[in-house]
Amino acid sequence: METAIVFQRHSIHLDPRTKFLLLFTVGGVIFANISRETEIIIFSVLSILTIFEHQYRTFLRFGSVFAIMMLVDIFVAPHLSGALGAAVLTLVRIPRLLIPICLSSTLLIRTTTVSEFIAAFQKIHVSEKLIIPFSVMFRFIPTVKEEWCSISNAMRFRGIGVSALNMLTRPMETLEYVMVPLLMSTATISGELAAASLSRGLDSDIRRSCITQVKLGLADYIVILGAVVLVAETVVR
Amino acid sequence: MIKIDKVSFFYGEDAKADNGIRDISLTIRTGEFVVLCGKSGCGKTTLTRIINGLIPHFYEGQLTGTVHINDYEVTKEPLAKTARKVGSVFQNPRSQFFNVDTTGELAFGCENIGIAVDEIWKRVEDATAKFELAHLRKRSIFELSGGEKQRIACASVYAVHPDIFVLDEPSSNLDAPSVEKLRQVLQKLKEEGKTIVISEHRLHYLAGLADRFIYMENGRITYTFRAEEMWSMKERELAEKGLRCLNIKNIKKHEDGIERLTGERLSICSLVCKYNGKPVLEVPELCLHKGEILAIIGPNGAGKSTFAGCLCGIIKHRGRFDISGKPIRAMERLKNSYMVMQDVNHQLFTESVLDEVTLGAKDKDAEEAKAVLAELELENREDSHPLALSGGQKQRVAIAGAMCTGKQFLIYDEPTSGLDFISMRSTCRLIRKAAKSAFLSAIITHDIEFILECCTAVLHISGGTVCDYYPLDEAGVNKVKDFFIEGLICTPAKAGRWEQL
Repeated sequence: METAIVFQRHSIHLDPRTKFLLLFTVGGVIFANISRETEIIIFSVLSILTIFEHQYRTFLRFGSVFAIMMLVDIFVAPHLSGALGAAVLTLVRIPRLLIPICLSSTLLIRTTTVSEFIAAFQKIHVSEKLIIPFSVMFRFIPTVKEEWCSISNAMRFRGIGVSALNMLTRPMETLEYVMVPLLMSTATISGELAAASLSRGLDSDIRRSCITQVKLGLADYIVILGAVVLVAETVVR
Repeated sequence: MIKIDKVSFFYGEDAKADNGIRDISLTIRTGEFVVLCGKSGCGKTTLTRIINGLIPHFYEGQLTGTVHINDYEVTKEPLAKTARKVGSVFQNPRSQFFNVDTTGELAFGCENIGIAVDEIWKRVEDATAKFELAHLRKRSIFELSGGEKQRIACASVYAVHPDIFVLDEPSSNLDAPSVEKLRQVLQKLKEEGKTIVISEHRLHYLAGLADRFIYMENGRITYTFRAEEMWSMKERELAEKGLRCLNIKNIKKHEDGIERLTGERLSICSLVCKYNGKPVLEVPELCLHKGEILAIIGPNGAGKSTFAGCLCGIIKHRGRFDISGKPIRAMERLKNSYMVMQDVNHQLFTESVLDEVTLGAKDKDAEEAKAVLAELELENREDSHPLALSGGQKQRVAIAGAMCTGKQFLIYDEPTSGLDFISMRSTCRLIRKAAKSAFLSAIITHDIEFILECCTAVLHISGGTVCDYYPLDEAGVNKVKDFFIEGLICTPAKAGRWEQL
């Protein structure tokens, strides 16, 4: 069908389930004291997938930070000793572990539509009662980001902005100033969102149809196989 | 046919609460176009919720009476079934999309009721063609302007093919060209014989569409006007009823305008602002007078907010800002600026009104703060929680905060969207009051009545540059009216390349 092909904008488009598996695998394996080489392999695979999904900006952002941390770890850290050496190692190693997790969750959120999300989990017969709240949460991430931007702007006008200085000198106060409006506005939005989606038949007991074809393809199987190998290797070692 | 019979509804448990509707009986014929109007809080929105079934299925409370659509009883049947017959468009474009992509949203309603995929694609094609939305397909919802979002919302409701459309203040966040587009959409729906019920403050764009106006007060229907009765109503009567203008041409300029001070000036020189490496705003030269209340107008996405952001120094930019030859840097301007946001809830941080207005003030002078609060009719509210106030009061608290801290640059982002005539006027008084002690007030707005009531000059931004700047004298008044009447998009020769962005 012509229109459906137009909608397939990605050269390789992973199934949402694969992306979830990827996120959980990476999250589990990365903290299992893996070698630097494995870390580079994981990051490279994620980068390739990110490029295939046309998320170039994301790739550049994460890639450059990862590369800098890795290069410092390999070439600079061995020449340092004592407290400075320990500090540099802590700075380049521990935050680096979070990068693949952030990258795979960005990949999931940026390239999955809500419709695909629902369809994928319906296919493996997850209950609607679970899918709907999760899909709302999924829909909510960019909204929270939007709200956060305008709240932090409002705070800067009052001289209580989320700056390093304010976070250090009065962390609890700053946190409170962010959380109060953020909770209020997200509560309102989620109420309105629920009303809007119910008025359009979201809780219908008829089986939903879905315009996007969600199917595990060759790329999905390769990634899943890779994930299984990675987990097996980590467990055996 | 919609038949509402002796319906009363109150939110919550308490039947005496004043936030509901009482004893409403109303019959709407198939194919009729009915406008619900009245002051804020009169029960318009509640009545729309009665028709689309959100009351009693989503909003809980005390309901009596019956609502029928033909032989179908809305209050008894499940919401999902009503969704096939009644399509709803809501006020806030931010919170009515379930999907994050437009194509998904267009198909969403059809998917929910299990229509076959081929048929859904046909309907999505049909809806995008009808509402001229082809260029908006496959886009992220978060990139769209308010007007584009409302059109997507109408089209996605249309794709389900309901017989009845219920719209709750759909125009309140839209600019003039988007309102015109919305009018065209409504026209098409009317031509197809759909029944349309719309709750609205802005009435002028409904000329030629509406068949009947229902005027509500305190939850009751107090008047019903036929279209010709409504359009011949005198301005005085409209103002008494708290209704907005019916014809832009008839709006009068507020007489006692603040005098333009000829003394100090803020001059802006070679201002450039980039977003993701692309220039989005370029102002070679501009000179603003002290004491001005400036209306920033122009189409959505033209750079109005970017300009306001640069003016108060919160957005990174290049360029010089001088006051009487003395440069004033972005950091300095940010310290002296204050923005009243469209959603005031974003800027209320503390636990009492008094704390709120003194927050960020260096020497917290409680007496002075109390004086400002008294001036804004908030004197008994010092200890209230800001979030427990009404919408108008919240806005006053936000403005009081700016006045107490002696900010010089006051920016307002659409302060009157969705306000009735009376609330709009009181916002005007407030802005004029605050402007007296400020260097410059700038208001991003799409509300022509408000501009003529409050502002002293107009700054027209289009295609990422300032394309006009004029005082609101007689010629200026006619010019700004023409802009709103025709929805003209001003494009100076040099703005050509911006259009490609």
